[in-house]
Amino acid sequence: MVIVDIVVIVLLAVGVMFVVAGTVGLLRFPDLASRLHAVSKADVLGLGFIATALAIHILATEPGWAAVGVVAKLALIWILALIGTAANAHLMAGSRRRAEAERGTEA
Amino acid sequence: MTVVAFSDVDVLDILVVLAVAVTAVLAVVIPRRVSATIAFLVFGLLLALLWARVAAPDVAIAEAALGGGVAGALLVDALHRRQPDSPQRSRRRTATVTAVGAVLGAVTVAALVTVLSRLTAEPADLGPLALEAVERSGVSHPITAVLLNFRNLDTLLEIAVVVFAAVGAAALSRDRIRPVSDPGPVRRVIAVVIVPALVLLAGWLLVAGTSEPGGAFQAGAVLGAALIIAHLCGVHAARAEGRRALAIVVTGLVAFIMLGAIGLAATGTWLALDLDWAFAAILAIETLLTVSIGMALAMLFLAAGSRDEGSVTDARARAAAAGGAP
Repeated sequence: MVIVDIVVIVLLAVGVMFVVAGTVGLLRFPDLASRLHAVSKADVLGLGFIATALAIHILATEPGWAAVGVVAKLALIWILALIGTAANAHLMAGSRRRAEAERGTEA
Repeated sequence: MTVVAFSDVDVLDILVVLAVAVTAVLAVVIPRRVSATIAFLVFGLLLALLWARVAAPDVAIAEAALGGGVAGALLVDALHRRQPDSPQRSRRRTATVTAVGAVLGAVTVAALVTVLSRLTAEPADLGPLALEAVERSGVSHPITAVLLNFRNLDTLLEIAVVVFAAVGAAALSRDRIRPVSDPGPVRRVIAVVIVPALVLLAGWLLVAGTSEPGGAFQAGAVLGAALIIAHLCGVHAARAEGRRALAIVVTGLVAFIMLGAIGLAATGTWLALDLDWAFAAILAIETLLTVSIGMALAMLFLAAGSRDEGSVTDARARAAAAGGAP
């Protein structure tokens, strides 16, 4: 159990670190493209680590079909966040690019 | 609950009732917007006073805050935006506005003092009563039991507010909702993956509401999000505009009113549910309400994002182009 707890804690810490890094990037980076780059990649990766930690925790503490159901939900949450974040970042960047092209100030 | 006997009615009450009726008529009849607005605000405050007189202080506070405060601020703001001031008139108007504000403020304070001086009753503790009666409601979750059985009149009125808001927004934004021409590959993927997942989630939240947190409002919010995403991804089959969408929105309200009538016919009490069919009735009405609320929310969102051709900025620009004529 102790080994499982250590693994869970390490995964949670790594996940939180990525989310914090993404948020700092969102706040500190100068323009839209770098901000999107920071938040869309780091946050989803961080969420993946956190979801993995929670899945290991539930499988170790309450093994059974209920735990498998929870793991499936965690996986679904992560996949939806992955699709949603990637698509959002792509659409926002594309919209900014078209607006700049219309104004003739394309970077 | 305190019952006001007829002997409690005094001259002041009759005067306030008459004044409420007069200000209500004035607010509708007066053609000048400023005067109509002032009449409406006075109407709201007098109504609050009346609620206080019939020993309903919480309703009175809500009426004073919403009818006098929020609605007043919105109406005055709308007046101010709609009428660009010419310089020579603005000083006189400022004086008028200050005077009106002072009078309304004084009336508000008087109304609130009257209301607060009547706050004597102990608040009723209805929680244990509701928990005790859950098994007689047809569902096992106490919040759903309260919303759809014990206090379903409140829910009916909330639905009515949502429906009226959606109908009003649709009327203001008619034919001006931007169509999505070319969604592109990314948005097509979203439409294929996210929209079905959201619809499934809405269905789950709806069914879960009978035994767990969830229900028509939560499921409706998720369904509304699905409809908005579908619109933004160019799925025309799920368009939240036009007569069909309006019909779907109104269906929930009409069905709820019909449920009330069925309750009246079956049990003798308006909106009452018999335990034999309460579960089926609650699930059926929640399903219709989910679709209705979802469509209403999507309509509100799309109406807010529609092109606002009659906007204030345009009106001001036209006024400026016409040489500052009001």
